[in-house]
Amino acid sequence: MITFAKRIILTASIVAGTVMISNAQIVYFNGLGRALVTGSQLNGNVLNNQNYKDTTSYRKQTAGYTIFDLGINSQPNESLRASAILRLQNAFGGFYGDGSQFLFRQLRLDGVISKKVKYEIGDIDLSLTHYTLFNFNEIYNDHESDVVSQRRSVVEYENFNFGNNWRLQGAHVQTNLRFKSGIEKIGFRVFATRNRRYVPAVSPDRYMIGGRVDLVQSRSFQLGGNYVYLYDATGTVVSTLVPSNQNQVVTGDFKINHITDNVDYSLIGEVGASNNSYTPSSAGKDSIKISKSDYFYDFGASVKYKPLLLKIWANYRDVGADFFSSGAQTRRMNDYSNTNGMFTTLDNNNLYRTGLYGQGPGNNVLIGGNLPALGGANLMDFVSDPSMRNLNLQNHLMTFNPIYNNITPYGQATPNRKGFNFGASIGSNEKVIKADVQVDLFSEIVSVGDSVTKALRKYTGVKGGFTFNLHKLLRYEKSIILTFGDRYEHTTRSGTNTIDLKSNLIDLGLTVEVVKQLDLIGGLKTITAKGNEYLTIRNQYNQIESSATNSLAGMSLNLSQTQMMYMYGARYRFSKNTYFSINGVSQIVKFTNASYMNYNVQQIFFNYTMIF
Amino acid sequence: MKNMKTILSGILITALALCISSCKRDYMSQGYEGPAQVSASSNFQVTTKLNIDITPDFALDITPTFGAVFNEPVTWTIVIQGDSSTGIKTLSGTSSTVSAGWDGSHDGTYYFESGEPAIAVLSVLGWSSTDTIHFTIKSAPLVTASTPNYMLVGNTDFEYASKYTNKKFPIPIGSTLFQFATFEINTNPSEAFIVQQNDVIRAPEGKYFGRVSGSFLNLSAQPNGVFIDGVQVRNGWSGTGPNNSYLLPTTWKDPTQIYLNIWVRGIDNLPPGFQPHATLNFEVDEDDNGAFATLSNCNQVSGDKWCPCNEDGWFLKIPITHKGWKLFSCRYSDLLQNEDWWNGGNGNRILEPQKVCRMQIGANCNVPWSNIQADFDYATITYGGPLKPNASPSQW
Repeated sequence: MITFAKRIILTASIVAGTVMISNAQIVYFNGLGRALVTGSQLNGNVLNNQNYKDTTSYRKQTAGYTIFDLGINSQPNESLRASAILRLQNAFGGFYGDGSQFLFRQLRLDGVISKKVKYEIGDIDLSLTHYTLFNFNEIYNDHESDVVSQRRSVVEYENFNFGNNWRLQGAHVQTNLRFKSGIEKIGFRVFATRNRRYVPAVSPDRYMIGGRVDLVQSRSFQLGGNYVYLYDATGTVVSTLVPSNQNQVVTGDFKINHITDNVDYSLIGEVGASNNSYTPSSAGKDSIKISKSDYFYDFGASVKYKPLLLKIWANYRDVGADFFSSGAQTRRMNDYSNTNGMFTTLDNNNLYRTGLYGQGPGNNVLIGGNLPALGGANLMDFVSDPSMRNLNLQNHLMTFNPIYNNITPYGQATPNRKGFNFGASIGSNEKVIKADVQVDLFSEIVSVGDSVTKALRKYTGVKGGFTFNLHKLLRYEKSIILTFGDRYEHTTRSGTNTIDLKSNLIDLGLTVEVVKQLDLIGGLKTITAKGNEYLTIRNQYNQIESSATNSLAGMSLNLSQTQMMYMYGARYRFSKNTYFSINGVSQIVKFTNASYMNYNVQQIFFNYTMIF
Repeated sequence: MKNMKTILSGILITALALCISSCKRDYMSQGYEGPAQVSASSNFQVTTKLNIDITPDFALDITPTFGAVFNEPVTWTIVIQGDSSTGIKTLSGTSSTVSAGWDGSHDGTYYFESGEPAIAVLSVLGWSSTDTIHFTIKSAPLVTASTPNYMLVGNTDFEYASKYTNKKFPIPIGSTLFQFATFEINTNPSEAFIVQQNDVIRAPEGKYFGRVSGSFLNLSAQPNGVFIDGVQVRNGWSGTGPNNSYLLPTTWKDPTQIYLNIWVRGIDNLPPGFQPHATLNFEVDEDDNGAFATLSNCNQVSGDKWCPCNEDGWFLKIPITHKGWKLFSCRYSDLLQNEDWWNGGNGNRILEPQKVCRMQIGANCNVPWSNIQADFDYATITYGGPLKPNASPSQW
C-alpha cells in the first residue's frame, strides 16, 4: 500500500515534472558560434612602380573575431513566440573581455492568431516578386565552388542575406481564405516597415508599406497582385530644406499550368508600373517635383519533363527606362566603397582601393583620359568583405562595375531592357549531375549616353554550369563533387560613342572527402574583361549625371583586366552544422593597360563555425 | 472549375492587352536619356592646346577663360583642382571650340585658397589622352564679406587664427565680440580651439576650422545634453559698442526667409577612444525685452542683452552621425526652442530675428562620460534661401 506521504511525494514529482516539461517546451535555444581569423598580405606593382613609391599604405593585415549568437525563443502558446538573438562579439586581439561587445542582433515577435492570421513584428525578412521586393544575388554564383560558397556564407550571415529576402524592421501579417468551390483560396499579405530613422535637419523617416493578394483558383491557375510604396515622411524633420522621395510600384502576376503525368506546361507573367517622385526641398523655387512613371511586362513559358527533371523555358520582357522599384533594384553589394575592410587605401593613402575611380581620402581625383580601372571591389571583396554589403533600400540606382554584370546589374527588374532569354536545366543535387544553361539576348529600349546617333546597347549573355556528384556515379561512399560554372557577356554599341565589352566569369570547384568528415576543398573564381564601357552615375534624384556635375560621369572606362581568385584548404565536419576549415586564398588583379596598378593579395583564413 | 479557369484566363488576357497597348513612354520621342554626349572619333585632334588667358585674381574680379580648339565637336571636360585646398571645379561642354569662363566657384566641399597652385586638365570623351596646364590662383573669391543677403557669423571661418598667437582669447569685431565659451566645472580646461588643416582633414573654407573636443571631465548639468564648449558672437557687450544694435541686418525681418548654414564634419577619423556621440547646436538668442540683462530683469548679469532664463534661444540641432564635411541649413522659422528652461527655453516664444543679440555654436555630448569631438567651419546666415556654396559670391 502506498502511504499518504509517498502519495504526496509522487504527486509532487509528477507535477514538478509536468511543469518542467511544459517550461522546456516554452523556451528553447538556438544560435551560432564562430571564430574567424585572417592574415593577409598585399603585393604588386601598385606599391612600387614608375609613377610613385608607396611607403605608407599597409602591406599586411590581421583580423578576426569570435562571436556567439544565442537565440532565445519563448513560445508560451500558439499565438505568440518571442525570439531574440543576443550577440557576444570579441574582436581579434580583444580577449579576456577587453573590447568585447554585447548587443541585440535580432528581436522578433510572431505567431498565429485564431489559427487564421499569421503575424510577425520586429526584425523580419521580406520578399515579394522580382519587380517589387527582391534581394537579388550580387554576382553569378549558381555553380560556385564549395570553398568559396562557404566563405561567402559568413558574409551573408553577417548581413542577413537569407535567400532573396530583405531584412527590414516592421510588421507583417498574412492570412488565407479558403473556399469550397470555384476558387481554392485567396491569400492576403500586408506589411509596414521603417527603412530609415530620421536624422534631424538631414533626412526624414523612410517607411515602406505594401502587400500581396494571391488568388489560387487551382494548381492550374494562379493570379496575384502586388503593391509596394516607399516614402519619406517629411514631417519627421523640422527643416523644410530636406529632400524627400516617394516610390510606388504595382504589379499583377499570373501562372497557368497544365499538369500531366510526365510533362508539366506553364505560362507565367507579370506586368506592372511604377511612379517615382522627388521633392528636392520646399524652399522657394527649389521645390519643383521630379516625377517619372514607366511600366514593364514579363512573359514566359516552360515545359518540364518530370522523369528526367528536364526543364526548358523561354521568356520575353520589356522593362521601361524610367521604371524604378526601390525594393527590387537596390543592389546587395556596393561595387564602389570607401570603407572596405581590407587594404582600404593605396598610393600613400591618396587612393581608395575600392572607391570610384581615382577617389581618395585627400579628395585628389585621378582625372582625365581613359581612367585605369583600379576602382571597385574585386572578387575577394565580393565573397569576404561584409562592410561592402548594402543593407538599406536605395532611392536611386546605384553605380555598378560593368564587368561583373552588365546585362542585369539591378536584377531582373533592371530598367531599359527588352529581349528574350531562354534556357534549360536537368537533374538535381540528389542526382549524379545537375546542370543548366541560359542565354540572354537583350537590348536597351532607349539610348543612354549617345545623344547623336541614339544607338542602343546590345547585350548577349550565356551562362550555365553543372554540379557533378562523381561519388554517386562511382557508387563511392565518400563525397567527390566537381562544380563548374561559366558566365559570358558581350555588350556592344555602334554610333558615335562605341562600346565593346566582353567579360567572362568562371567558377571551378572540387570537394573530396578523403577520410570520413574530412574534406579537401579547392576552388577557382576568375573573371576576364576586355573592352570599354561608359560610367553612368545617378544623383540623389535618380537623374543621370553629366560631366558638368560629376567629372567621372559619362567617363569612358577601359575595363580590360584579369582577376583570379583561388582558394584551397581542408575542412573537418564535426557534424552537419559544425566545422572547422583552414584555407589559403590568393587574389590576383592584373590591368591590361595599366600594369603599374597590378596587385595581389595572399591570405590565410581560419574558420570554426558551430550552428545549434 | 474548368469554366472558372477559362473565364479568369480570358479576363486576364484582355486586361493585359489593354494595359500594354495603352501605356506610353515619353522619352521615346527624344530617343535618348541622360545628358547629350559626343565621343571623339578616330580622327580627333586638338588643334589648339588648352590655355588660360589670365592669372585668376577673384578678389579683383579678374576671371580667367580657358580655351582650346578641336577638329570636330566633342564632349569635353576641364577639371580644375587646387593643390592645397583640393577644391575642384568642372567645366564641361559639347563643341569644337572651348571658351569656358571660370568665376572662381567650386564643386563639392572645398573652397579654393588664395595663392595656391592649381592644375587644369582637359579630357575629351573617347580620347585616351589629356591636356594639362598649371597656373596659380592669385586670390580666391572673397566669401566672407557681407552682402545684402549674406553674412558670416563672427569669425567662424577661423582664418584669423593665422594672425593671432593665442587663438582662444576673445576677438573684438567692431562692436561685437567673438570668443570661445568656456565652461569649467572643475579645474580642467574645456577644449575648444582652432585647427589647421592637414592631409587627412581639410577645412572646407580656408585653412582653419573650429573644433570642440570634450573629455569626460567636462560636464554640465544642462538638460539638453552635456555641454562641452563652443564659440559665441555677442553684441551690445557692455562698454564696447552701441547698446541697441543687434546682429542681423535690419532688412531681415521675415523668419521664413532667414537661413542658418554651417559646415560640420562627421564621425570619420575620430581619435582613438573618441565616440560618435556629439551634437552640434547652432543657436540664436533674442533680446525679447529690448534691454541689457541685469539683476533687476534677469537672474544673472550675462554681460550683454540676452537673459538666458527669460528670453528666447532658438536651436538648430545637428547630431553628428554622418561622414565627411556636410553643409547643414535650416530656416529660422524651423528652429527649435531650447528645452532648457533656464537657458533660452522661457522666452516670449515669438520669432524675432530683428532682436538677435547673441549667436552660439556649441557641442554637446549625448552620452555623458564619453570623449567627443565636433569640427565645424564657416557658419553663415543668409536671406532669401540657404547658402549655395557652389555659387560665386556675386550670385548671393
